[in-house]
Amino acid sequence: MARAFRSQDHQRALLITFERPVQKTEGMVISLIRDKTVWLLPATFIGDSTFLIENSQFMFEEIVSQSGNTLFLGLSKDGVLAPDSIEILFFHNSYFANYFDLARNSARKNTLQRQNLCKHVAIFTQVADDTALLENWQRYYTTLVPPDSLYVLDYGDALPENMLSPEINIVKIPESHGDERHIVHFCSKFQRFLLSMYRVVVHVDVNECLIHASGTKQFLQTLATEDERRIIRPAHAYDLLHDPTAEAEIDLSQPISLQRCNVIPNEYNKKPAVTSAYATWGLGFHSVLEQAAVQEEQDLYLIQLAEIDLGLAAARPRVRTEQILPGNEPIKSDSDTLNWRKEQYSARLKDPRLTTMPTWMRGLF
Amino acid sequence: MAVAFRNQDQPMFVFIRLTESYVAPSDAQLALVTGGVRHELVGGFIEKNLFASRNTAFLIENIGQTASFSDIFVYQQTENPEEEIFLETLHFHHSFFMNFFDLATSSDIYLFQGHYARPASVAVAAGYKGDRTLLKFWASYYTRLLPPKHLYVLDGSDAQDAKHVLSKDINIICVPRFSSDQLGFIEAVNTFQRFLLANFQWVMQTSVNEILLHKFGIRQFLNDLQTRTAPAILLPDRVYALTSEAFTASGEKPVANLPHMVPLSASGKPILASAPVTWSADMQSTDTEHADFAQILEQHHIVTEAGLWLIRIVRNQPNGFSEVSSSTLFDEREVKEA
Repeated sequence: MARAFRSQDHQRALLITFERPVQKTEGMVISLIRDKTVWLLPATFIGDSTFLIENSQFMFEEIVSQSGNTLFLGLSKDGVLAPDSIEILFFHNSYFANYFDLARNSARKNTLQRQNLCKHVAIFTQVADDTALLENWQRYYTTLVPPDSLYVLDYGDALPENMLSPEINIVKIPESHGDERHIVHFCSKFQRFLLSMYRVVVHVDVNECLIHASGTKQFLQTLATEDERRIIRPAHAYDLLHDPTAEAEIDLSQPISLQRCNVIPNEYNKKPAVTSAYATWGLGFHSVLEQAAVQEEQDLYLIQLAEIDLGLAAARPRVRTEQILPGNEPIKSDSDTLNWRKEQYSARLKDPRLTTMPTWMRGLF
Repeated sequence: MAVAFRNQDQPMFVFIRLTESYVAPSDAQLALVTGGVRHELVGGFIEKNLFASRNTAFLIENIGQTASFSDIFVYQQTENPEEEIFLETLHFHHSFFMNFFDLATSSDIYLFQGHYARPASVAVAAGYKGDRTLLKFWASYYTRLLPPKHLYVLDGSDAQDAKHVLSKDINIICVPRFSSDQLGFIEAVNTFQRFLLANFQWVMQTSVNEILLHKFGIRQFLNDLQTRTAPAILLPDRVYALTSEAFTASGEKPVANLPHMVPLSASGKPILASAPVTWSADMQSTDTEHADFAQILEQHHIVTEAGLWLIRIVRNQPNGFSEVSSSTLFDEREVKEA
């Protein structure tokens, strides 16, 4: 029997030891076998019949979590599985030591028993110092859920008092200096908290509108009646873009969709935003580790509002990821930022993918 | 190696299958040993080499988490408590942990370098079920120790009225009403504790009738917590009931009024944690302010903290301290004095 384990030096990666002696052979990969399916996993031989699997995207856990039956491991070379290499797979306790949570089990059982007690849909976001679009966020999402089902995680301590309706839940947490990893971590944790009370939890950034072609409210309500637990991403994502040469400065007290019309598809923003299962988001909320639970909703759109106004964008602090990623330029002065934004907008408006927002969306946000 | 697994039809049992080379007597009992500590399993052999353990208190999960990267060994107990027979090391089928596996449990997934530095030191959370006076008392005590924005009230009251009682600086989050959905309330508390642990090094889970003291000063104790990096769940070494008489006996601060503090024989609850804590329901208790925080599932991770005292405000009842009655509320003046 083969065994999977982790070491203190390799908490994300996996170590696999085969019972029978294995020698290093060029081109050899680990084969994880479940029922009649075989996954080939690149691995590094480290001696003593042991391999290291980097497991950077937690693919191993993904496969294991889908399996009720026994799992087997084998060795393949040139895509051919060596039948005499197959061993049944078991796990050392170090495999799950850092990923084991007793509350997870009660959540599953209780949720099944409590389905009728849970509220339907919660929507949450997080803000630090960029609150310009927060009122718009409130205005749009209160058309979908009651204000007491909206949650704002305030991690910047800069939210103006009385900016939001008192019914909206504002949860203050300590400043974390815009660390993107921290943001996705506490949001993933907060999603689990909300799923203890709601059947569907939506996470969007404050500058994002999630719109369903058949009616967003109806879509979410229907989802809340389903037994299936899943994570949904929109099939369409667009950036709404200001054309400073043809469109006036934005008036945030009026519907944005009536003031802007240019959109550019943004594949990267097909975010897994609608959840009824635990979601562990990656940086920027563009992906989740629970890939097997993700489904694409054909009529769902995510519209990003980060570029709806040149002046607004220039006044906004540079995006945090730009600040933390190595090799990026330092933050520029205000005038430099405006010029930089102008160049950025001008280039974006020449993008051949530029198109017009669907007519049916006008007036929705 | 022995293998532990679950059967979905019998979720409260964990089965351990020994390899054929060991034929244990049918009446044999097993123990698990890790880190030199022995844990006896409750159960018996249901067929040759297959031991079924009734695992109601999550003992085997606790052992697995305690062992972490170390091995777990299976021993066969004999009639002589001094003598045990080593059988083999324990491994697991994935059915054992599948229902408990959550990638977000570890912040390592975000590739934090070294230990993840949580931005702040201590948060205090409280479950609130409707006693406004105690809620005010709780807030007045803890805002003297910590910034108000580091206090979190989970409002499970029927009226969901905490927002009308406390200052805006204190975080108030409505959760399922305790009287109609106790499991939901506890699940919300458990998941919220994990959310707070993403932001704070330590989370203090209180009820609104509980205050925490330390023999050498609670402020100093809370400050010193910042230097403790190892995950821990702390149990106060003393628990006292403070009766309502203590509030009215003199002009002194009530906690200094020691003659009115009654030691409670019941063990205290593990109140401070830098690791996830899973509260279990104790629906039998009549004390509604802390009935749901009687026990945690991570029993084997608890450490008693010398000098840490938990003071529980108890309504003064003629027949003892366990009853709470709305007719014996403190008045506002008493709370202000406290």
